This record gives sequence, structure tokens and C-alpha cells, in this order.
Amino acid sequence: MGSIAAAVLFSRSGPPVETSASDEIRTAIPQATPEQSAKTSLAQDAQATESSMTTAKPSLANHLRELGACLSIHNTLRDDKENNFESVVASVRSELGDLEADSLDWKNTHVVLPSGEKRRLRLEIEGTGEQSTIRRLKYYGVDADDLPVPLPLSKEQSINPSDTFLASLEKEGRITLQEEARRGFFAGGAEVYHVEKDGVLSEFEISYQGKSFKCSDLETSQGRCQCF
Amino acid sequence: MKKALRRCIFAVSFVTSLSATASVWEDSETWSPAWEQKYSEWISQSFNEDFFMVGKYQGIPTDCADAVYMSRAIFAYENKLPFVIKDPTGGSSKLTNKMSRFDSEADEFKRVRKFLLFLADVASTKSLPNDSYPVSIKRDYVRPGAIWSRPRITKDNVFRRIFGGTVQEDPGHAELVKDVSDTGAVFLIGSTVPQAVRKLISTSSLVFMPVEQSTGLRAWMAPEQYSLKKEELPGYSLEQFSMGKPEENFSSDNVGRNTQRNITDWTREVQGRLALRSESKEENLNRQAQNVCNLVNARVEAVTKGNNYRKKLDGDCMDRDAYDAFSTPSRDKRIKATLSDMVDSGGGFGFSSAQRAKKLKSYLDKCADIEYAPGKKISLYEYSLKALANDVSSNPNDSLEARWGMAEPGSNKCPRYE
Repeated sequence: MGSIAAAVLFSRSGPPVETSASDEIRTAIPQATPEQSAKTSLAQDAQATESSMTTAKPSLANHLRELGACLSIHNTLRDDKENNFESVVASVRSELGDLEADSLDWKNTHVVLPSGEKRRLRLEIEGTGEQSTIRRLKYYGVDADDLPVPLPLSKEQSINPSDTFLASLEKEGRITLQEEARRGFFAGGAEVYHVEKDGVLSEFEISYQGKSFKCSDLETSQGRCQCF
Repeated sequence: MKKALRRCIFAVSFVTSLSATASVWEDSETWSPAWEQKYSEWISQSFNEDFFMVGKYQGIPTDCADAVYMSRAIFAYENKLPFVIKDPTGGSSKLTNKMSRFDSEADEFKRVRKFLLFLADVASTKSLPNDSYPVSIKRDYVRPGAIWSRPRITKDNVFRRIFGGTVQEDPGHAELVKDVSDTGAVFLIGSTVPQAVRKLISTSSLVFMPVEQSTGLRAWMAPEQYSLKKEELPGYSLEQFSMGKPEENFSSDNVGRNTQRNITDWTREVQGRLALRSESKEENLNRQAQNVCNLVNARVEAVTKGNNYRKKLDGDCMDRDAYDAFSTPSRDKRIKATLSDMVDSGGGFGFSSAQRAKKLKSYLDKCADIEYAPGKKISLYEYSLKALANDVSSNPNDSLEARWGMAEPGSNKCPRYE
């Protein structure tokens, strides 16, 4: 957290303020005022709410039927399936087996601090050698153009950060977006990749015996799938 | 007069302050099929192995995704074209050359270098699918500048099935198509991990078969294309994800035969679709030899880093993380697999691959001797014999000489993490 204190804070007015000595001095950039950030955030929330009220709830059941036809498997189907990855896993378990691996690929988290300033966390699995990977955390402020501004982290905070540290950053404010991609495989050898946005399944792709089935935008009414 | 001068100074100051919000670079051109062709030609002719070692872009560290993204950004900058990518951090704005982030830097080229470093910070192999789309396997689209990418591979995946062994985790990777020969061979150029200032690496083998839609041979998205469906983009196709099945025939011998996609048939089919003529055996062997030459030369950096770390430990063993970071089993398996292919197609007689490889000496000798340490060299032919005889060590706890097959692996009692 000491190193977080070293991050550049975006004051309510005027240029960014260094809170401690740091080699990672960031260029002063135009900042959205906290009032502007709060307004933007509220507007986005309102838009999302309105969208969900007017859009019909997407049905995963139809897509699961398409999945079975594409991969030539007899997966189980229930029309009341929740739109989440667990439903997909449950549907294919009888044919593809249990999910044996399901590891993080990348994750974005947006946080609005009590001051109205915004922060973004991006956690990625990054290659460091032929067989080696690390979890790399990158931490960002957000400028007036809604673009990420890198904020410094120590090596310990950035490379394989602890869950405790990650949670502490998330708890600094209100989470306004979470999107997470994971990758794994089933016991029967099928490979799977999926993305959830704010807890809702947005995308998944299952590859099995030379065929692949991919669904996108499942959280919207434009959700669609392809077999290839 | 003084008043007029003061007014003039004020006017100049006012105009100057208005232009203080500058782009990284101004774009006056627009991406078009003609500009895509020029980008392709530039990659083929100018984006060479020493691109980040000499000249104006020297000293910029890259990993595989950095080199791919930077190639596009640099060409855009040098030709006053726009550069646009989707924000990998989940924001709704695009990252573009119009960012005013680096305004405090008056020198445009310095702004560009800062932008490139920012790009390297935010973009990765995981963001490439956002900024590209899969294309039809035709020379119109699989051409210099096209992207070749694969995701991170976990255990029990294609990579393990190709090379065997127990690869637990294989990081994602991305390269650019550097050239497509008239025999359909795809030549690639790219960097590697970890991020470092390095010569780019050239190879000519597509060592994996794309499975997910987010991978494979891909074209860049132009700025105005982000508002379109990918299916509407020029050359969009999913055909590469269904290619690679063994040729069908109706012989009864095929009953029960495995008809699943496989990398051998996939590679052959890609080359066939891109070829303007057949590749002769001689051409194939020369290409494979050049490929091995490049791969072995690229191995020098990886092994040297591991050896330097080993010496710092002064006899202690590497822990698992260091072992994984400095071992070279995937690279060594790829080199050996390429050599084995050469032996199978052009080798002589002999009980072992190493014996049969002797007929390939003339091809391998075309590669300059590899300097694996200051003043220490090995010919590619000699290295190849050792690799085929399994005398080359991937173990980073072994001595430098053992890593190059020049000595027996040491008697170190260090654990192996493979």
C-alpha cells in the first residue's frame, strides 16, 4: 500500500500531485474532475439499467442445443438454465466430463474511488519463458479521455500479486465493471475459453475433436453462436 | 508600435496555446487497400531482424506482442496514417495516435517513442483478437504484415500433442508474416519473452494449428472497421479453423481411420493454398535448414541468460520458477522436430537419425557457425548431430557446454521440473 501511496493522485483541481518519491513520475495530463467522473459513471449505470429493462433476457438453452449439434454430443438441456458458465459446464458434463482446469487468462476491474477518481486493474497471465508464466497486475488511473494512465506498482505488487492485495485495491471504491476471461479443458479433452462480464456469461468457445463452437455477446439480445 | 507588437505577441501566444493539445502524430492519410499493400511491402522489405537494434527505433524493448503492435504503429506514424486499437483495460475509448497524453514532449519523435512504450504496457497477445480478424487462406490476405497468433496453452493441449512431454503451460505468442514464398511457405518474424531489446527472430514453420477463432492468421482492423461486424471485413473467413483434416477417399482401408484435424495436414493444406508452384525437395531442405539456423541462433540468448543466472547461484540449484524461466525444452524439441523432418525427407541411410543426417551437411553448412559464447563457436551441422542424438541439454542447471552438447550433463543433483 506504501507504493500505492506513491501513485499519482488526481486532485480535485489543478495538476496531479505526487504523494511520495517515485521514479515513475507520470506526465501531468488533463483529468476529468471528480464531478465529471461521477456524472459519467452515473450516466453509464443508468444506460445499463435501461438497456437491461428493455432487452429480453437472453436464452442459453437454444445455444446449448446448437452446441450439441455442432460438436456432435448429447448434452443435457434445460430451458430454465441461468446464463452462466456453470450452466454450460453442467450441460456438457455427461459427454465431455468434468472441467479439469479453469484458470484465469485476463481480468479487468474498474473502480470508482470515493473522491470520484477512477482506477483500473488489469490482471493477465504473462509468459516469462518457454514454460513459465506469471500473474501480472497493471494498475491505471483514468484521464479525461477515459484512457488508462499507468500507475506505478512495486515488483512484489505487480508480479503474482496476492489475492489480499488485489482485494484491497478493489475495496478502495465502488466496482463499476468486472470482466474476466478463463481458459481450461474438460476431462474428455475438450478445450474451453470463456468470458464473463459483471458475472454474466458473455462469450465461450469449446473445441472438441476438430470442431469448435463459439458464442459471443450472450449478455445481450444479439447473442449468437458459430460452429466451425 | 509597441501596442501592435504586444498584440502580435499575445496573438502568437494565444495560437500557440491552442495547439498545445497535440496528437502523438497528425494523420493526414486514410487506411485503404493501397496503404495495406504498402504496409505489407514495408514489412517484407524494412521490418527486419535488426529493426530494434539499429536506426531510429533502436533500444526499444519488445516481447512478441510488442513487436507486432509496434510494427503497425510505426508504419502508421511514418506515413501519417491513423493508429487505433481497442482499449485492453476495458474502457470505451480507443487508444489512438490522437492521444494528447504526451503533449509535454515537444519533439514529435520522442512523443512517438513514449507512445510505443505506452502501447507495450497496455497491449498484449490477449488484446490482439480485439484488433484483428481471421482471414481466408489466400495470398491476398496471408501476406507480409498479417498476424500469426495463438493463445496461452494449458496442459493437455495441441502443443503437448505435437511435441509430447509434459508441457504444463505455454505462454501465448504472436508474430508477423514476413514473407510468403511462391511455394507457399510462410515466413514469420517476431520477438519473444521476456520483454527485452533484441534482434527479431525469423522462422518458417507454423508450429501450431489454430483452433480458437481468436488465433491463427489474421488481418489488422482499420480504424473505421471497429464499427462493423467482423464478418463484413475484407477476407474474413473461418476456413483455417476447419482445415487440416486428412484427405478423404472412399477406400475401405479408411474405416475407423482418425479423420480429425492435425497439424501435419493443416500445414500442408495452408502451403498448398498459398503456393503458386510446388516446392522442390531441394528448396524444402534449404528452407528447413535456414529455419534451424535461425532457431539455433535465437537459442543463444535464452541459454546465455540461463547460464548467467546459474553462475550467480554459485552451485546452488535453481528453484522451480527459475528453472521454468531458463529451461528450453520447447525450443529444443522444435529444433529437433525440424531436423527430424529434414532427415525423413532428405537424409541418408543409417540406423540413427544422427547417422542419416550426415547427408544434410551441405545444407546445414550454409549457416554461419553459431557463437554460443564469446569466442566459442559450433557449426550448425555439429549442433544438429548432437541435437538428434539427444546430447543437447535443455536443463538450465547444466553447464554452458552441456547446453550445447559440448560436454556431458554435469553430475548436479538439482531437481528437474519437466
